[in-house]
Amino acid sequence: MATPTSTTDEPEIQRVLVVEDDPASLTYLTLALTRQGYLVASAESAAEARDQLSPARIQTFDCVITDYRMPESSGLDLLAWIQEREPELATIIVTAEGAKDLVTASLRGGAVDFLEKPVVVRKLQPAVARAVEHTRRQRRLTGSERAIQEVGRAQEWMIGAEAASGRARTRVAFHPKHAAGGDFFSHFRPGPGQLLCLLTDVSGHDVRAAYHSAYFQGIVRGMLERAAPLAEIFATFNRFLLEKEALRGRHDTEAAELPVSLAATALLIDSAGRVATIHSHGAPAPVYWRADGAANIAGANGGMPLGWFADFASPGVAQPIAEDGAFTLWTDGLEEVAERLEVSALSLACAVQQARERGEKLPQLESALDDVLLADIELAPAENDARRFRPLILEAWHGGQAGEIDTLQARWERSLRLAVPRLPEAMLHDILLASREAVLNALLHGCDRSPAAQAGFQAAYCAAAQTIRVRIDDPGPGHAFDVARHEARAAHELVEQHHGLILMKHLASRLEVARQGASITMDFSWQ
Amino acid sequence: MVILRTRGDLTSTNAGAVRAAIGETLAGLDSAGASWHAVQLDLAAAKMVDSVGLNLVVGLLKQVQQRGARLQVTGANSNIVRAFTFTRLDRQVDLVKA
Repeated sequence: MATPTSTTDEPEIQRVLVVEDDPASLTYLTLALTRQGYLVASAESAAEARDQLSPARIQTFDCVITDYRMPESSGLDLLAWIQEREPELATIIVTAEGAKDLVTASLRGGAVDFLEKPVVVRKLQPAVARAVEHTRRQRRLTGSERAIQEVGRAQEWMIGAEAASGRARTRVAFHPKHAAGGDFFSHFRPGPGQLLCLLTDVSGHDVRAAYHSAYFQGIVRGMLERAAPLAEIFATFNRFLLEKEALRGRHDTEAAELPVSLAATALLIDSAGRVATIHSHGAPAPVYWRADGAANIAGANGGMPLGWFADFASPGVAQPIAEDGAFTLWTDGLEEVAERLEVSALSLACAVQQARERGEKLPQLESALDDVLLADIELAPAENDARRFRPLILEAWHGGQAGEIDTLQARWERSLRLAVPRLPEAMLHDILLASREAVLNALLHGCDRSPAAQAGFQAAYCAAAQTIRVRIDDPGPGHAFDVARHEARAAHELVEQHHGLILMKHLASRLEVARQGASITMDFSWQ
Repeated sequence: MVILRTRGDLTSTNAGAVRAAIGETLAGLDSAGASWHAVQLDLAAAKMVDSVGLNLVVGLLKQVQQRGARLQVTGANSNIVRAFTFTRLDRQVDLVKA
């Protein structure tokens, strides 16, 4: 691409302000700079300079040259004043004193250069040229930064933090790595009783990624208005990305530019039909959860993002929904942070939403390597707010993993501490011990130690009830066991079995056993 | 008195190794002809004792009782004491709270 050139032949005006209390020096500097083509303004004191550098005029100057030693107010004072108002404006300090500490103080204060008296023209000219270039470069950078921040603000506004759509409520936490990012979330109402939530994550986390993400969201909106099905929308955009990539490959020699891919999850909620359809491509699958904390992964994790391969299909996965149901979706930026913290993504999601409700950003996200976007969609929040359990852990382990119980327990501990920081230590101990017993029982007996069988472990939190609920399920038949009779026997006999079941019964505030112990629910409540 | 100290939690993960170490210690004392009438199990380093750890304590208690000796458990934190209480083990062993 050709470099843009100016269409006018007029030379560009570069304005310099010279501040000098000695009239002879002021005249000398003014003349020298005027001869070099600068438009020069002069001031005999810092106060006069401040008048010239009024808010309306300060940006018309490209450089300030100021004497250090002046009555009333020094050049360093003027420098500090300029830095406060227009840090992009380069300032050169001039002095007869070549003291090293003054040079240091000048540079530390933001001066771009330092000239000793008597100032000679051969040193003045390049110093001013550098200063002018510095000012212009800084102003360009600031302008770009402002534009990026504007994009970021627009993105945040479009994503929105909290919105109601029909009876459903969405709560979104968006933390781009930079001022703007490639993650995007929006919701549409494609038909009566329908809500479509769309979460997208474009490769990269910059303005380019933000543009691509917004572009895709626009295409979706447009195609939805034409009543196009989601599978067709995804296939169209996949084809679009591949065609653009093929064209770019022919014409663009900038090899450093990576191809654009887009991970996306679309969640089409049909309230009347009590079903949601999930299309997930290269993004973490959503988690569906009920007010009692029961959760499952809706759809499948992973898959291909859009823009990779022409062989593409988007069949969609159906998830039955209930009145008290909710979905949580996130981009892989959240998973990266969870992996680094060695906690469950759901516990991190809970902590991120808690911080958002306080108007804060969770400190653990500061070092995120990617944009983080998280959305909760509650189908009928008002009726369920007080008694709602939010999922914190949703895991499955196979029967061959009993030996990893210490690792699992340590991960549960970190996850619970992150999501429920005020959880009392004794309660944490009880939850961990009872969960350990239940999961070991499930893996060793319910799964019979087989790698082919899996046990599920879930933990959920109800803030209003100050309760953690834990669920453990295994595929085994369970077995009949009378805890009360066993306890009575243990009072006067030394028994070496079933201590785990007794511990669970006493540690939990409530224990619910189903399928002869193959499914266990425990509540842990505190004041 | 024989004093046995755990290095951390007493759980399913390490109970086998702890049981073996205790067995070796007591056997060593026997083969050296040393007489002992009490065993102290110090749990000061443990934050948690699970059901397998409790089973180990029951096994040790039986072993000690067969010798006509007694078992004292010391250093147990309040959570561990509760685990002993729930399983009624506090009635069988001499439990000295931390």
